[in-house]
Amino acid sequence: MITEKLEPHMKIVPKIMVLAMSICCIVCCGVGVYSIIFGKPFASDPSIVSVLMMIIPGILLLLTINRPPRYPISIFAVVVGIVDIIANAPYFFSGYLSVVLPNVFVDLIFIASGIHAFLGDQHSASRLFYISLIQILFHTGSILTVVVANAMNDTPSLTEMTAFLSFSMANYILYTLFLLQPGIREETMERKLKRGMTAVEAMLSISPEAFILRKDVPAIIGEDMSAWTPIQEGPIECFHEAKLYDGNRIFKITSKKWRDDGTLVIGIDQDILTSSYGSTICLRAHRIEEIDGETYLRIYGDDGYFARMLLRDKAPNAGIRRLIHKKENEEKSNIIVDTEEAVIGQ
Amino acid sequence: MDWQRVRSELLCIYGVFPTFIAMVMGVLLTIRGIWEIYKYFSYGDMTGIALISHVVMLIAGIFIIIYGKKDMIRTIGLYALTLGFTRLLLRYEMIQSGTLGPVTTLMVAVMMALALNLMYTGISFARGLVIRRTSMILTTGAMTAFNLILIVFAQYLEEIPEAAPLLAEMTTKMIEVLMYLVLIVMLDAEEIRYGTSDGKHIRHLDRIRANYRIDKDAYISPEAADCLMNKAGPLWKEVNDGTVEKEMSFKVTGRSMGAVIIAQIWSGKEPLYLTVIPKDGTIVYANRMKIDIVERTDDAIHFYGRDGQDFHFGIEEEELE
Repeated sequence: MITEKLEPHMKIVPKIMVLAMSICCIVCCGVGVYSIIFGKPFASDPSIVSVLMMIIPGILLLLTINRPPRYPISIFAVVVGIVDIIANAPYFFSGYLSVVLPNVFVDLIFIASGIHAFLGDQHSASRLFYISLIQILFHTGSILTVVVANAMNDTPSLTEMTAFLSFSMANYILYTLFLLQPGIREETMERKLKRGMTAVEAMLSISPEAFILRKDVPAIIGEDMSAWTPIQEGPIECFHEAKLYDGNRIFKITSKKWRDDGTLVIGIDQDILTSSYGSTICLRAHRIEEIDGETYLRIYGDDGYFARMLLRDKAPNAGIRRLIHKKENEEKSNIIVDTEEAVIGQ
Repeated sequence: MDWQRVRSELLCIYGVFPTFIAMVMGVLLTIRGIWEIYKYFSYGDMTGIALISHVVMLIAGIFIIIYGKKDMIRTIGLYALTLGFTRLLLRYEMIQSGTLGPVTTLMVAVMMALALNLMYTGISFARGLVIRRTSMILTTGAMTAFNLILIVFAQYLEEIPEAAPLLAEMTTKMIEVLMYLVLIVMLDAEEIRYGTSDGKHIRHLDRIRANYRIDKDAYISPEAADCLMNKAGPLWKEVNDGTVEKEMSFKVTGRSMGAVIIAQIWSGKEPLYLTVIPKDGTIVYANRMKIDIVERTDDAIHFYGRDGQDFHFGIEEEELE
């Protein structure tokens, strides 16, 4: 999904992660500088230029700390991707083409996804997440290879290369964790289905057991307007909000009075992060009725419209509601389900 | 620099990217097919089975180049089916040659099983159905990993005589890796992700949601707000078809979704008629409203209808940072 909305700036934890990524990049560069100054074997490695170039993403990441998350996401992917291609370049014509080519391919996808993420594509963050995991695997393999080669003493000591690979891997781990932050990656398919169904259910489905509080009835139908909120300007003179309880879902019942002719209208909408365009009925009449020992508020609108709402004396206990719907609440706090959509009571 | 223009141009490029990759898939199959057939006729060191597999590759490649841009799902299906089929034939040929030892035979059998699964999943795609997408990704990933392991450890396997047929053409293995990677990239395309059963449901639900719900931070442009307030301005187009006097279209942008609203003024009628749709195009199912009063504050525009409509949008510039 391409989002065009401006994202909010990062909170403290993502900022610390970006800072840590920046430090890792600078340390990588530092390892290269140290190797050159002290004449370590790593200094003669063809990839040393790219190691020194890690200072660039280090500085650029520092500059993005006070920016929305798409800045560090894109800058890391594009700059580190380019640096990795440069690191692979010397091996292109030295018999390692078969290893280098897939690596460069992955880097190109990394860069393209970084740019796409900057343009607002939320799925790119998911792709970057998986590529980052692959890079962590590559780095683990590289570190193991260097360690084994050192142990077998068939190469000069490559402590600096191990240090570089370790910090580079730490960088990817931090990046992966950064991409796990809520709201950064695209929502899962399951979550999107749930979001859509929540919207449909909010508009079209209320259970027969849904109820309002008996004490709210006079205010809802405008008999007692002491709790109504006046509005100074606009065509609506005053309004009142009550609640309709449906299991773990809560609907808002909004009663409004038009300023010009005093018409009373009632609208019902579930209290989720999106709202409806407004769908209300003119309250033409009402009465309380008894059916099978239960009391209902019956309201009439125009053209045959009528609705009936069960009356209860007490609202459900919020603690018990949470306990009954424990599973849903756990799902909301799952960091992998990275959603900002507060789907209440589904 | 006009960032919005650059952004929309870049997004256009990303939009045609899957078609480009489909072309690449076709070209890869064609080149590989032509090259191997050329080798068969030039050197003759190839069996009839191998020749058949490369002819299939060539035909599928040409087919993908011609029809690839028309139907992404079937293109991927044909590509996967071709890759699976040719892998199966080539590995079968290796086993039939009788030169493999038990370990290598086992490895080849695993590759054949993967190729069979690639064909199986490819058939669904070739029928236009996105089924078992994850299975195809995992199968292709396993085949990629298998080839990469062979490539990386080629120098060690060279010492094992029975592995010689597997290591005969490392360059070919590398090209195969590229062919597999291209397939994995294609399977991540939006059309494929949303081509699954769940994805199709999400598309429908998103449309319903965009028609009938508003993000609480939804906003429209200041220009659209001015035009709606004044019932005049650059966005209004004269229609005068006997029913509609004039109409304008504006975009609503929110955190999780967007919509397009067509506002109309009908001849001889006072209210503003709004039709909310997810995107421009065919309009059948839509949220239609009659708005009697439009009011504006500094940063929001409010709509009220006698039929019950009561909502507002923020007013913001659309430009990104």
